Amino acid sequence: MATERYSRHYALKGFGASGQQKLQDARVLVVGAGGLGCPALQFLAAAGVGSLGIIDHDRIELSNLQRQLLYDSEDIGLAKATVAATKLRRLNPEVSIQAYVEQIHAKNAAQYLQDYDLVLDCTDNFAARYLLCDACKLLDKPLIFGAIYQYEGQLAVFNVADAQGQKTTYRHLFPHPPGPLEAPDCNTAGVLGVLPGIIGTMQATEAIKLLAGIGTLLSNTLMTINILDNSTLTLDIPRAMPLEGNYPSSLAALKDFDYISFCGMPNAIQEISPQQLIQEWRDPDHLLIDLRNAEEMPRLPVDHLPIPLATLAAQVEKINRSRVIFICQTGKRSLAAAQFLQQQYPGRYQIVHLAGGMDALQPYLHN
Amino acid sequence: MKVHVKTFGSLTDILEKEFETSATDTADLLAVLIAQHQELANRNLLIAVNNTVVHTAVELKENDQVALMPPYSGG
Repeated sequence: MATERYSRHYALKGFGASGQQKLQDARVLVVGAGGLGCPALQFLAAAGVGSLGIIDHDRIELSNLQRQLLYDSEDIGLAKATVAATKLRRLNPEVSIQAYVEQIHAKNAAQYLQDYDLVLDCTDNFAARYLLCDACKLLDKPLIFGAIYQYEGQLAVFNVADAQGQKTTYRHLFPHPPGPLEAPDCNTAGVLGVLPGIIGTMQATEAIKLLAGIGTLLSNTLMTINILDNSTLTLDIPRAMPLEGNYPSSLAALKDFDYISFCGMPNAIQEISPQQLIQEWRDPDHLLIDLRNAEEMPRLPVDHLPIPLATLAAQVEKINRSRVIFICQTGKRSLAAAQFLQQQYPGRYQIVHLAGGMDALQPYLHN
Repeated sequence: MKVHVKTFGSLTDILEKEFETSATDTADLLAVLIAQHQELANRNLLIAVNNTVVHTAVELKENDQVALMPPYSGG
């Protein structure tokens, strides 16, 4: 470790060589290399965090440069994670940097998070925020949360025990996600460029404090900052609250959790073709549900659960598997049922419906 | 009870940033505000009373400070 590079840390009372060594030993994952991620990454790399991971699938756009200072005009169109890694290596070659040009989702989250000690939520959408909240809780990883709106920022440290040993998560603040139109993002609502600079830098600050074991963290505390009037508000998050709403309680359930529909984002109902259906309909992972009335023919030649559409709402508790295939005569009722279930129980089921219904399936039945 | 309310984020498009109103508990406060501003119905809000987040209806006392805050998604 270059002594001169970190000389101001060595000189710092309460930090010193031991604080620096703790940073050097740490592995930090920053999810999102945009407005919050850029400053967070810059300070974490400069500070000498031993290993930094960057996940972002976006490419750099001209409108990003007003606030994402890792990038310049020549980087337009390039992958953020790759460019960020290149520039951070130039800033501090002693840091080992992994760039993942990928979107984090329920299926890959645990795999990425497992390799790191600490995660920064620098994302820009609720599906990713609830995913990180749940994944970090299940893996017991500290999560440093930052979010912004126009001139205001929110900041918190989740999954880190306070003096009483209590931990909280984002779901202790917002058990249910907002509707898709309720919380506009930076694209539609605008944002003053310095705001993510401030909040992302504060996320890095909390990360460094946590790693070095100094100061008091924002655990079980939500801090909000308004940069127009310089006001701050610090809210205590209740610890003992049982989690409500729909959330995955195991890593296996996390993988199957549909965060897109959980957050009310328009998720096209997936279709299954007659050929695919015949290949998969004996798979015990799926629950095949026939929405037709008993007199509608022909009946399905495999095990299934008959629930006429009109009685679906009353019989939902019979749907005891997360993967559901809906079938009706023409594909209309199955689409309606899928939409109903997705709206009423966001995230609980992975639903597909047979396009064209029994009418489309029938020609394949006797082959 | 007279309480002081502060609003945050996109709520300031609908409500004043700070105002005083009367309510017996937090559920009553929300009902009063929704009656005045239909667009608040079904909004996902964090409610804090005297700087502590609450998830059930909490009785309000004279001069309590209530914060109403939506989730922010930007990053």
